[in-house]
Amino acid sequence: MATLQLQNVCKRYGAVDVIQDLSLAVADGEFIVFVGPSGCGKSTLIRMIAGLEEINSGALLIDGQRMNEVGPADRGLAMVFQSYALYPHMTVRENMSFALRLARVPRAERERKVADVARILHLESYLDHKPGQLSGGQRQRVAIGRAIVRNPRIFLFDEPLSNLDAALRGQMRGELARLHEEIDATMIYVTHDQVEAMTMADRIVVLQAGHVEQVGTPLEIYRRPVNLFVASFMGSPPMNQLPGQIVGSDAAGVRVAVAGNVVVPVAVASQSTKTDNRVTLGVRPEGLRLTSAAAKAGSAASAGPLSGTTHLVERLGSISLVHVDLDQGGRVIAQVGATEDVRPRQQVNLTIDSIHCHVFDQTGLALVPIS
Amino acid sequence: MRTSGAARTSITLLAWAVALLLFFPIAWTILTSFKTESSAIDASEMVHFQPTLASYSEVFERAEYLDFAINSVIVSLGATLLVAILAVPCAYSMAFHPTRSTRGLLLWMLSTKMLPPVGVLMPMYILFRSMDLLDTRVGLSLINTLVNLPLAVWMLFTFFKEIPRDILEAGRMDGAGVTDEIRHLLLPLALPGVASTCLLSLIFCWNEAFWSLTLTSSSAAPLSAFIASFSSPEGLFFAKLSAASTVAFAPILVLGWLGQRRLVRGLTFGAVK
Repeated sequence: MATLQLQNVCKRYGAVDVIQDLSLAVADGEFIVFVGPSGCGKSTLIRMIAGLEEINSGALLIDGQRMNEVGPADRGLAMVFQSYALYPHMTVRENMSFALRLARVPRAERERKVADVARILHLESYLDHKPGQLSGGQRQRVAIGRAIVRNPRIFLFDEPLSNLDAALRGQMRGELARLHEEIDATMIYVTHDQVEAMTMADRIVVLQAGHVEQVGTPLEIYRRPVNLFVASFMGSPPMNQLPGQIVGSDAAGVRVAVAGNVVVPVAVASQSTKTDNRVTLGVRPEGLRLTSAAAKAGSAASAGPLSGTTHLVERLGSISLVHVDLDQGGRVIAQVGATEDVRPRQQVNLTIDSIHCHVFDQTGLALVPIS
Repeated sequence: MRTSGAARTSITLLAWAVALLLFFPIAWTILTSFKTESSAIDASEMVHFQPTLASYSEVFERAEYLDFAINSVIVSLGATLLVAILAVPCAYSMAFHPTRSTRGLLLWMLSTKMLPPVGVLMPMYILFRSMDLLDTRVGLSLINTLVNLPLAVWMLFTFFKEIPRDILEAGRMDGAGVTDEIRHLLLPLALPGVASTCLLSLIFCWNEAFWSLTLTSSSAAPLSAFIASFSSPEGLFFAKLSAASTVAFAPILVLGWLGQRRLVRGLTFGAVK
């Protein structure tokens, strides 16, 4: 049980700034997920917290105590590695009790703790196996068990599920969430997979090029991305982006014209008095609706039509994703019901559901929603 | 890769030919050691001769084989132990905590092997003399350590490089200090590599002749000096020389044969996965 604070931490490799002036506070018992594209510094950051990488400047506090100069073992953290990093020459039992052995915990207590953890993780029958005899999912559980046995203040996970197949990944996501519930520990989790981030996190930290782009709950991040990067990175398929212009604004929001003359009212505060600014309209795939080719006038909540030709239909079972080449230029993805009768190379019209819309200015920053 | 039957047969034949060529001097030495001095130089008795242990008994009579052998064992084991104690931490830090100069340092260490030993004979001799190390086992162990250290560091470095970093980092998270890390994780994982490095060092020490002959005379003289003592003073007595050689190389030959699988892996420098 612990809190963690990063205060203006920096990491440089030679002339390259990997982490730049990053600050963050993690509350006790929180499940925090660092997410970002590869090379964004998320792994470096978790390794800095672990003590495996030096912090060049700034401070790392755990429970309010400065930890920069404290060695990895004495920070009271446990880490689960992407490669599991089990000790191949030791049995599962020895793997899990290694830390206790080093800490000179009496044998009986060691045995008891390992047995407890093995029960939680359903590993009792594998205690005398070597890691090489286990499947990927079992190895993963041993790695997690090795972390739990130490009863750490904070758990660190470095892309722990990326070596598992899709079905197992889904199952382990559930188990990790249950584990968090059960032992109520502070957990910091690194992933490039936004589904993992969305499903498990109390709060998500979106990183790019060593910067924090946004910190928030999964729904905040999804519904109110602060900039174009977060908007396009979080969400699958990504948010559609349409170049447009603000053609009017009032107390209810702004009106954005896209694709020629389609005007979409969006409830965001106009950023300045100028109303002729060029902007980007972001629309989630679920905010685009297919309508029949004979389009009717849009209601108050929707605008359109955009018209275009479908070039790909991905049927995912419960929903379908329709890729449309717009007549006005550009390509969008619309999410429709599975039963929708739509085929490739078909002329379609799309209406835009304005509650799923976001407006970004020229620098990529989101205009503030009026709630 | 697919090889045709004919190609495989010719490769096998070639391998046998090379092996026989390499083993021939050893086999010939062993053969000659069972001859009398006269039959050793008689062409008609090249293969057909009456085997005798006369040369052996004479060799054992004339020189204290056991003294030389004990020196060889102590010096080889001592030097190999020293090599291991120095090379393991050195290779560990180079493999897992490299700095900008690590690569250059490794190359420099190897470059010392390119120097002909005789080039440093004078300074070495003077150093040994002033430190009272001439004709001592300690001195010979030290020089053997120095001779074998570069190769041992190189070999261990290559073996350690194959150990995933993550495993050692996991150990560090689990509370392992540097010594725990080396003892409980690195050495068990790199055991085949460490064993072959030690074996190779042992063989090199056992067979070392140049420094043994120049820096020892009697009390610390190893088996290579024992052989040499049969070659010079009284002209060439092939049967006795062969018998002396055979008893000198027999122990290490057996050791090498027992450890040959490890040795092959060591000599290919971890290139075979």
